[in-house]
Amino acid sequence: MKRFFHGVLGIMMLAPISFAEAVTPRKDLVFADLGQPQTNPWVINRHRFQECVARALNIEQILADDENSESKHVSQAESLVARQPDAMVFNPLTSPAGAQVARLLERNRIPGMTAGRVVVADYDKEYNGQFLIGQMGTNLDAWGAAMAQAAIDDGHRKIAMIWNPKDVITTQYIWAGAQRVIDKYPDAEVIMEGRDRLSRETGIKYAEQYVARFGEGEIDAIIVLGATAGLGAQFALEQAGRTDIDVITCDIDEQVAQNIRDGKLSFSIGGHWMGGGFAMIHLYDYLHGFPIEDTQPDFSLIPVNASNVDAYERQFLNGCVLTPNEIRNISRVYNPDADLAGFIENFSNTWND
Amino acid sequence: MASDVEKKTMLPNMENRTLMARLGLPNWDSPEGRVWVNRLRDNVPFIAITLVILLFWFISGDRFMSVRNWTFIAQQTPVLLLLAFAQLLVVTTGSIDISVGSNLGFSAYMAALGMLWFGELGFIVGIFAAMLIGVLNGAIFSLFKISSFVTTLAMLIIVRAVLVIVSDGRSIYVSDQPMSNSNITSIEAKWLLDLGQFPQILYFTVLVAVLLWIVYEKTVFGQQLKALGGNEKVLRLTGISVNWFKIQVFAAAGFMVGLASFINLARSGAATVQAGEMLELDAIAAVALGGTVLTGGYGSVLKTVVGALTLTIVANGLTIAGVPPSWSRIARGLLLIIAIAISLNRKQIDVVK
Amino acid sequence: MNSPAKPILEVNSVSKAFGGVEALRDGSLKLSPGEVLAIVGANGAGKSTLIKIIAGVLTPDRGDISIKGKSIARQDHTVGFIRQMGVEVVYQDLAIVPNMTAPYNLFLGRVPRKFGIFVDEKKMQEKTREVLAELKVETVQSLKRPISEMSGGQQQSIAIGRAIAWGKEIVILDEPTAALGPNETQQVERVINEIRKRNTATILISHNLDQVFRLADRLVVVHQGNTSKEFMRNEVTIDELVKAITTG
Repeated sequence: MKRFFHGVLGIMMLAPISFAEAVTPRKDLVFADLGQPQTNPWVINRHRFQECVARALNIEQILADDENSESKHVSQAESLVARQPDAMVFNPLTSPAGAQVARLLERNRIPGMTAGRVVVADYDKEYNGQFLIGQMGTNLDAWGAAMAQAAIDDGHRKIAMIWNPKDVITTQYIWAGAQRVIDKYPDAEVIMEGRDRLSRETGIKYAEQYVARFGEGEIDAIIVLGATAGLGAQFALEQAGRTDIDVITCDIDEQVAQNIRDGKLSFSIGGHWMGGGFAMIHLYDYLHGFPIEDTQPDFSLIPVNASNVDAYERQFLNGCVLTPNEIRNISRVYNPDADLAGFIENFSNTWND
Repeated sequence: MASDVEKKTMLPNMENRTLMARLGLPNWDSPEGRVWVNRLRDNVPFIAITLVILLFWFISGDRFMSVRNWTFIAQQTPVLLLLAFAQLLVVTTGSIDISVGSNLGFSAYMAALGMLWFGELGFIVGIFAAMLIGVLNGAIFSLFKISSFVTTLAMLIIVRAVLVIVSDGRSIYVSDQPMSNSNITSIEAKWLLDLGQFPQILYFTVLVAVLLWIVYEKTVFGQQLKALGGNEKVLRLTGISVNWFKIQVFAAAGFMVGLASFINLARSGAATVQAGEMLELDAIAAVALGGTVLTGGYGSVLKTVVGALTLTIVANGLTIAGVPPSWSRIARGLLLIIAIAISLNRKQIDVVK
Repeated sequence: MNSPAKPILEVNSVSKAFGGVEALRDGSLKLSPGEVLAIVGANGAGKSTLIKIIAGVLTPDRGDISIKGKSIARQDHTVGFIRQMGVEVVYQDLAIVPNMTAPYNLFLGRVPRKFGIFVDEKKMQEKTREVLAELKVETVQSLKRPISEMSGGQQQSIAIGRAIAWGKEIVILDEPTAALGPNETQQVERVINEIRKRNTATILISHNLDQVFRLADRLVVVHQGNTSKEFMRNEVTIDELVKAITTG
């Protein structure tokens, strides 16, 4: 119902534009983007894919980052709004910070969409504004579940983890997915939790401490959030000669791909950074008068193991994941039959076809 | 009149005398008592580390007190210790350098780049980069008379940003064999990885510690550090160029950061964008745990070693004991408060005239 | 100890104004080797301005000073140059680095080196014992402990000792005992008597007139910016001196 209402509203508001210009693609659009600093590989990937989308759709982008601070998240959003962009894509650092940005968008009548994290858990039920048109989410629960499932499927039962501290809410949702899977197997257990700021160095430190704590047979695998720390943990295990312990991680860069190919890592999962580009396409269509069809699409991550790592590397780590034509093809401005929601939902299954 | 004063000063002394006498200890207010209290305070870091080791031995037994675990502790301490040394030099003069963590990340990356460009000896680029940051810190601090806290806070932000720009978020890996994947930036240097492992890493650190002890205790430079922390005005009156000396101090601290970054590169096997994040706080904590007053004038290389070691052992021991991460952080925070309380007391005792 | 013919320091009608207010109108005095000269005056009379001109901290508006017969040119009238000429000021509380040892404080800025970079501890300790013995200062504390563990009198003695140990011919003592107790004051006064024997000239600024009478050979009174009167110690009573200070 809400979705329908939204669509009607969108058409009413933008009716003059859409009827007068039909669907002539605009070339003067400026999108603001607010996210986290580029100290994380996935932030860089997010920007890279957004740049591909921007080029394909002739959008100019203004980028800003929040230095991982809630207050800066809001103040940077204000600075971006001051430049009066046509739309804003943002990845809320936390839900409260995101809610403030959403209010800011409503007040200034700038359409926006989240990419990655969310402002409210259920957009249709909980969100009352008009200008936050939707939340391009990542299926966090499925993400964590996939990591844990990969560990279980490899026969691991005694599992340790290295994760963000509990105050990083999103990663708590990911862990909840992993915990749910592990709880399904009575013989599987989480034998130790390490929570810290994640870097290669902390990955090394915790892996070493687990090695000191657990002898052979007492630990099967370590699930590590993020490839940077994951590679660190794997490096430490290698140095300590503990080939009995497997590392399960997420994010795939060239080094992770290489390690999967070499059999040093069995599994990783990635691609969640594509959400930013998809949010841009949603907003692009919206600004051309097309109501949003799915206000809260969830992007499922792409599991990678030895069987598909080459294909993943070919498609995801070099240049754009999608060609300009493919990008335009999922926008209704160019393709009246485009099914963006369906594309997002199925991408993790269809990308390698 | 005189008898009144006598009464006031005598009464508590009498009480103390009985209490202390009962314990078989000299009266704390007598000259011998003061020497005794001072000696006790002087040895607090050694007492603390002994208690910490005994405590974790008691809790975790052989898992903690194993050769394997102490090998890890020997590997985990050096980077922190070398950063704490950098901090010690600056803190002794009564200043502070909170840019050491960013500087570590930056100079490790520059060392890796140097090795890419110029071959194995190129790591020197990293040492020079670290010293350059130090010289900039010292010059801005002393010439523009901006407090060292503010100067190095600005540098902490700037240097991390420069690192993001220079690296574009990509890591440089150190490997012991030629890399087949040309998409991965890596340098082949087995000797460097070996240096990052026990026992080489320990030999290197001990050597640096001994050399620094000589510089700190036996040279004119070392004495001037303490004198600057003790009374800068008097030092200026004696015709010493205090500004130039401060630049030298920060350059020397930069050199130490350069060594720390080199060891970090060796130990973690990669230069990443996040390397050294928040390490400045651990470095300050290690110096404080070593009983060095943050207001300057005093300090000890040996006790800084003990401080860094204590910090590492506590983090290691809490993980091995299975203390939940948040509680582990509380424990480390409390430890720091106690350490600073001790150093404040020490200060009072020493400055009483 | 009457003034010999050749003064080591001459101050010739110096004046100094701050923003139109004349802090010092006409300051003149002569100082001979081995003499202790006290400068006395009420607060704001111009004592400290006079001292700061002699020490080189301030440049006089008019007049000049000459040291060892050599007139100091305006452009040379700096702390550094005047120190080089052999004038040292010992301040009430600024002169000590409290966390360093007595030898270090004695050698402040002149630490002897071995191989260019190392501190020659042995030499420093020997010289310190020498100076302390010469000044008849007894210490119970180790010379390896911070000087702040010594008594105030011992600390001030080291500061004075530093001034004379390096051949300074003129020592200015600015309220050297203001912060000290009676016993420690006695100790510092003994040191001042000892340096007189070394033929060092001393200028003493003190509010304690008893002390001035105990130590000084000669007294100069500063009143409303002028060095108004001068007495030999044995030619004046305390009452006369107080009158001179208050009425000029």
